[in-house]
Amino acid sequence: MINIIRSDFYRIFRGIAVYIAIGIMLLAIGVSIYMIQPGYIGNASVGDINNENFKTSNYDEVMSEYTLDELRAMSLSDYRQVMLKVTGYELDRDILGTNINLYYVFIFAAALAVTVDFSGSSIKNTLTSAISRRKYFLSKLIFVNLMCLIFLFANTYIMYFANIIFNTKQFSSDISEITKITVMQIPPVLALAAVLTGIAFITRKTAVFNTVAIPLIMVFQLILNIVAAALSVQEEYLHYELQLMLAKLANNPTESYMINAYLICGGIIVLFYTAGWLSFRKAEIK
Amino acid sequence: MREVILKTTQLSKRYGNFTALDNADMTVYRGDIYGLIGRNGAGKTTVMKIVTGLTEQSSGEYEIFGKTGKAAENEKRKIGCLIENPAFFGNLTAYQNLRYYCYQKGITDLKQIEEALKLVQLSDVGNKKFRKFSLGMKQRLGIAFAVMDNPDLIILDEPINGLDPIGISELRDTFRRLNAERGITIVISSHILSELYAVATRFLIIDNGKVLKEVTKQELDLECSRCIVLKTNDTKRAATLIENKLNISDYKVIDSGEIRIYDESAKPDEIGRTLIQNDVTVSGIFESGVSLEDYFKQLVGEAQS
Repeated sequence: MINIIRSDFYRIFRGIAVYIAIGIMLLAIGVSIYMIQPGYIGNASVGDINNENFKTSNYDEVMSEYTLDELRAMSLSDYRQVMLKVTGYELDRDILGTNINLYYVFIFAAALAVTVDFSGSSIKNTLTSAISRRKYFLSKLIFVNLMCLIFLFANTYIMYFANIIFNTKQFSSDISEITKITVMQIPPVLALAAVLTGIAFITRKTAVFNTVAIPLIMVFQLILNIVAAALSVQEEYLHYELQLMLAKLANNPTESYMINAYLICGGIIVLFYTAGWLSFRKAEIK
Repeated sequence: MREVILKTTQLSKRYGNFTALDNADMTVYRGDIYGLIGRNGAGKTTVMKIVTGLTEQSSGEYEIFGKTGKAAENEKRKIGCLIENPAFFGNLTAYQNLRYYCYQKGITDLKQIEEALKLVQLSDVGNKKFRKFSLGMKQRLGIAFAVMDNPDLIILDEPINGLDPIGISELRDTFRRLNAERGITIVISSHILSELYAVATRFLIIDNGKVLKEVTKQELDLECSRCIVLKTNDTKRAATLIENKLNISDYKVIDSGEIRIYDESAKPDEIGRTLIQNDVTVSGIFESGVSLEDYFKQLVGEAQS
């Protein structure tokens, strides 16, 4: 298994895709740090969760000087000037709360590890080399998880130090706190990795995988919100959805929330890996 | 007794109602260059995909180096393969692609990459990416991959597809060299009969998923060579007369109703007359001699009728 993982690391750093993924990650970090506010995708309620963080600063007071339309019309540099009036808050913690952005980077990891093999049929070379399907599946699973964790921690520390350099300590928290949050976010990140790896082994072709994986997180949230509204589900239950879970875990979660969240992550991991394995186990390799 | 390297017993593969492979039996001995002959869709690739683990058989079993089931999985390390099209990473060079598989197979002796590339005349392609290779170059890289790590058996599916005549001839020499010098057993499929005939020592003729015949090159030569075909219902007596009265020893009793005489000096009318004079019923006597293509068509025709 180690040999397969080593070979994948050798291969992916000789292609451009991994550097595009790193570029996307750096761009997201750069925009957030320049705006002094995390940029995030999807559901606005992530911001609601993170608002706790602003209570310790004059954020609301600064923002009350502008209308929402004025703020929206501002250029990035003007917005930065407004944010610099804020006495400070833990921007790095807030950025970690929007780590769902990394989902799009994780897509690269799953595609590079799994679907590229199927689309190019190079998996045939591997499976005919005395490497069992089980060993192949486990190796790819470990590789995608490793890549996701590398991206997660790289994102944390690049963002942390870039924030200190460009925005000073005023907008930064302690490195141990940032590390703790990142570690707490590992289970949902591994759940995201499982979702993507499972889908990759089910779809097998890069184009199909991208068609499913790219809109998935947004479509899923949309459906969840509709279902929740229709069934009058309490909002706190929605916080166990992976995007909101990442945000919640960055904002002093309660112990009971963490236990429930990690159990859900475990369930997602088991579900998607089982589905991926069952689909791949006896699949005809073309 | 020769060592059996690969053996299939009643191997079948069905996709819904379609039978891609129907109770196929084949035996490959160490040192063979074993040719799988058949039209497109005959079942050649299916046999190869089953024995290399790319698909599962519906029924039957196969044996690799004397091992079956899970034990056969480990034996696959001794096999090099090129199934269907050569598939490598387009953004990597020939060397990098093979390096990737060296990592995967745990091969630490990187000289093997150079040797394999040299063997297929790809050592001078430098930094050219795989996606920019011609089809012939891709095929040769596939063969380099198959021979890397000194396998005991290589399985090549249509390896001469896309190669020019010189490339085919070079590849033929490479196969013979690998077989003679390194003792590698080769299973090779093609729908180009003449090419397979030029290199293989044993043949499996397959059509519509069914094995029609498994023959050695000598047997195939015999089947296709010029001969006199004698049809009689008393082959035993006819054979005695041919040998004792006509002094012909180069003949073969094919079955209970047919004898083939290969002696070039033998004359059909003289044989017929001698047999009739000795009360042997002759239902037919004629000269025969078929090309490989005609022989194949004949077999396929018989199977279909």
